Amino acid sequence: MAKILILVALLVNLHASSDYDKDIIVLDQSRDDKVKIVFSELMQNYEEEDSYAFFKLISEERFIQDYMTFSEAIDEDFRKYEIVTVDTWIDKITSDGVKRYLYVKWEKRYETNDGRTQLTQRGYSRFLFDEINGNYKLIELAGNHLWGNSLSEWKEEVPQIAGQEPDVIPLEKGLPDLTILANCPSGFGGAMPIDITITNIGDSATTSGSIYYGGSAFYSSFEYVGNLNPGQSILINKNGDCYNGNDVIVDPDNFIEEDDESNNEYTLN
Amino acid sequence: MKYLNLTLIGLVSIVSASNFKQEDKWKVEGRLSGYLQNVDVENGTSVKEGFTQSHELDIKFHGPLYHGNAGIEARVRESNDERVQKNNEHLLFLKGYFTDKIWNHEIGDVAASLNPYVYGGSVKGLKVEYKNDKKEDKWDYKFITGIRKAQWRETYQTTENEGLDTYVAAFESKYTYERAKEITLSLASLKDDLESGYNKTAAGKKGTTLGIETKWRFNKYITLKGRAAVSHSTDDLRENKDSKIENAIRLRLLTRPVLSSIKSNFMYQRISADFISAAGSANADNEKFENSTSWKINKQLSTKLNLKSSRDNLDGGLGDTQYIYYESLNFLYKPESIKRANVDFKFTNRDVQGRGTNTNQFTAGVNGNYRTTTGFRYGLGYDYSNLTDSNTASSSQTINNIRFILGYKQKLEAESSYRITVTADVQNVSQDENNQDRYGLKLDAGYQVNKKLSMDLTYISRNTYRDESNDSVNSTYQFRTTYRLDDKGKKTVRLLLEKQDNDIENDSASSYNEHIAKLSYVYNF
Repeated sequence: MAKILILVALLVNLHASSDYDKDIIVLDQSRDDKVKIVFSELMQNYEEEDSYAFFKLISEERFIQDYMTFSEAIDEDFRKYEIVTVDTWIDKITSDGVKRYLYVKWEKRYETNDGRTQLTQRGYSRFLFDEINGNYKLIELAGNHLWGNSLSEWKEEVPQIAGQEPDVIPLEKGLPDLTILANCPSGFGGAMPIDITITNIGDSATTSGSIYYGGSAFYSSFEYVGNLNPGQSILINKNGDCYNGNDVIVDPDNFIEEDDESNNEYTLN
Repeated sequence: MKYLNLTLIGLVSIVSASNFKQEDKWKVEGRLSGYLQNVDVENGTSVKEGFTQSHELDIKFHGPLYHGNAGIEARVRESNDERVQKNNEHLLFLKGYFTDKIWNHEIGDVAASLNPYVYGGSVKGLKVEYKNDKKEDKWDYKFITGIRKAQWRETYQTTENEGLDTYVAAFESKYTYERAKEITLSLASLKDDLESGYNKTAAGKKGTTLGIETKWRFNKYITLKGRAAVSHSTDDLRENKDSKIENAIRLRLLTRPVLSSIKSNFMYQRISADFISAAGSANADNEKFENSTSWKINKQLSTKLNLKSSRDNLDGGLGDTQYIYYESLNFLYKPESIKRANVDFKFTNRDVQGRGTNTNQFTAGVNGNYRTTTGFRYGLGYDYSNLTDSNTASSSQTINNIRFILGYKQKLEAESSYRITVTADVQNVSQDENNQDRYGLKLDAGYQVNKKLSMDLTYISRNTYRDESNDSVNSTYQFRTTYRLDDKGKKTVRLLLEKQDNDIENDSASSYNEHIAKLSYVYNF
C-alpha cells in the first residue's frame, strides 16, 4: 500500500512539474482569452447592430440550435430595439475539451425603435464556443436572452441554466396573458382621471417585476411595479386624455411574453 | 503522462456533466430592493399623489445536508402603495427544500407547470420530483399537491373576499428518448370546498384532466410538437351541474424544407366549446389554423408570411359564428454595400366577421435604420392604418404616421460613453367628424462613466390639435441617474426626477402639473 502511495505521489509530482503541463496551462489560458475576445467582439457588433460582422463569429455549420431562427431573432432585435447600453461581467469559463462555456452576468438597457420607452433587463447567460480552424466561434446560447429576446420562437429554443434570472417561462408550458380595460368616470373632454384595470387572464404569473402601460390616452408610458398572478387584476387610476377613440395599451413593447399578444389594447368609448 | 492527463480530463468532464453539486457550507444570501416615491400634483387630483414606499426582502439560507443540499427561502414586503399591495400581507413566499442528485422535495409555496391544459400554478403544499441521472432513454416524474390560497394568512383565518379552498393534486411522467424527443403524460384532479371561503355562493368547480404532450425532432427537417387533453369537469358544483367529457388539442409542425433558407411552421388548435380544465387553463370554444413561413432569399433580403384564421361557436351554442382572418407580409432588406443599415416593409390585413361585427383593418409600413461607424444613427419610418367598420361607420378611421430619429453615440476611454437622440413624429388621425393632428418630439441625452455611473436627461413634448374639441399640450422633463456601488452590479441606487405639464385649451380645471421623485435601490448580499 505504502509503495503504491509513494508511486502515486511521485507521479503527481512529475505530473505537476512537467513542461508538457505548463504548455497545456498556457494553451488553456490563451484559449480562454481567445473566447473572451470573441465574446467582446460579438457584444460590440451587437451593440452597433452590425449583423454581418456579428454572424461572422458564429458557426452556422456547428450551431446546435436552429440557426435560421437565431438569425431571425437578431434581425428582430435590430429592427425593434435600439441598445442604449449593455454591461457584462464574465463570471467564469469552463471547458469541455476544446470547447469553452462562457458564463456572463449582464444588464441591458434598450429603447423601442419608435423612441417611446426605455427598459432595463438583467440576466445570466451561458455561451458555448468551439474551435474551428484555430478560431473560436459561437455554437450555442443558454440562460437568459441577452440576444434575440424579441422573438418568442427563438426563446423557445434556448435552454435554461442554473442561476439565471427567473424571467424566462417556457413557452409551451402556459404563459401570462394581459388584458386592459379603461373608462373615464368623469366623462370625456380633457385631461381627467382614467380607471384602468389590467388583468392576467393567462396560465401563469408575470415575472418581470414591472408591467408597463401607455397608449394615446397618455403622454408617456407608466410602470406598475409588481407581478400579476393568473386571474389577478389591478385597478390603477391615472390622469390622461379622456377622449372618445383614445387607446390604452398594456405592455406596449411586448416586454412580457404572452399567450395572446393581440388583446393588449382598449379604445375609450 | 499524456494518457493520465486525458483520463483526468475525462473524469472531470464526467463529474461536471451532472448538474448536481453539493454545497460547501451553510450560508445566507438575499436581495433587498425597494423604492421611495413622492408625487405632487398642482391644480388637480390623482390617487398617485403623496408619498409611497415599498421594500422587499428575499432571503435564502442554504447548505449541505447528508448527500444533498437543503435550504429555506422567504420573501417579505412592506409597502404603503396600494397599487403594489392592496392589503397588509407581508409574507409573500415561503419554501423549504431538499435536493440531491436524483430527488427534489419542496414544501411551502410550490409551483409546477405541466401540460397547460392539465395543470399550471402554485399551491401551498408539497412537491416531489424524480430526476433521472441518465441523459437519454429515461423517465422523470413530478408530483404536486396542496391547497390553493392567495395569501398565507388565509391558512389560519378567513379574510374578506377570500375565495374557496381548492384542493389539487397533479402528476406528470416524462419519457425522454434522446435530445428533443420527449413524450409527457400528465393527470390532475381538483375540487373546491364549498363550505370554505368568504363568499358562500361562489359556484366552485371540480374535475379531472388527463393530458399528453410531445416534442419530437424527427430530423433536421421536421419537428412535431403537440398537446392534447381530455377533461371530466364541472364549473358549478353548487348547482350540481354535471361533469362533461370534453377535449382539447394543439399541434405544431415545424418544417425546414430547405435548411438555412426556408422554414414553415403550421399550427392547428381545437378546444371544444365546453372544455373546462379545472386545474389548468384553456380558452374554450375556438378552432385555429396558423402558418408562418420565412424565406431567407439571400444575405441581403428575407421575407416572412403569416396566415392565421380562427372561429368560435364550435357547438352552435352562440347562434352566429365569428371568424377572424389575419395575414401579414414582411420584407427585410439589409444592403451589403451599406453595412449597419436595414429597411423593413410590413403589410397586415385583419378581417373580423360575424355576430354583429364586420371590420377590416389594413396597415402598411416602411421603416429604415442606418448607423454609421462614426456613431451616428438615422431612422425614418412611415406607417399607414385604415380601419373600416361596415356596421358602425363612425368607428372607421385612417391614421398616417411619420417618424424620424437622429442619434449620436460616442465611446470614450475606460468604458465610458455619451449619446444624444432626437425623435420626432407627426400623426394624423382622420375619423368621421373628428380629425386630429399630433406632434411629438423627444430629446434624450445620456452619459455613462465606467460601468458605475450613468445619467440621462429626457424632454418629451406631445401636442394634439383636434377639430371638434380642445387642443392639448403636454411636456415631460425627466432626469435619471444610476449608481452602482460595486463592480459586479450587485448594489445599485437609482434616482428619477420628473415633471409633467399638461395644459388643455380653455380648460384650466383639467390642466395640471405633476412632480415625481423616486429613489430606488437593489442590494444583493
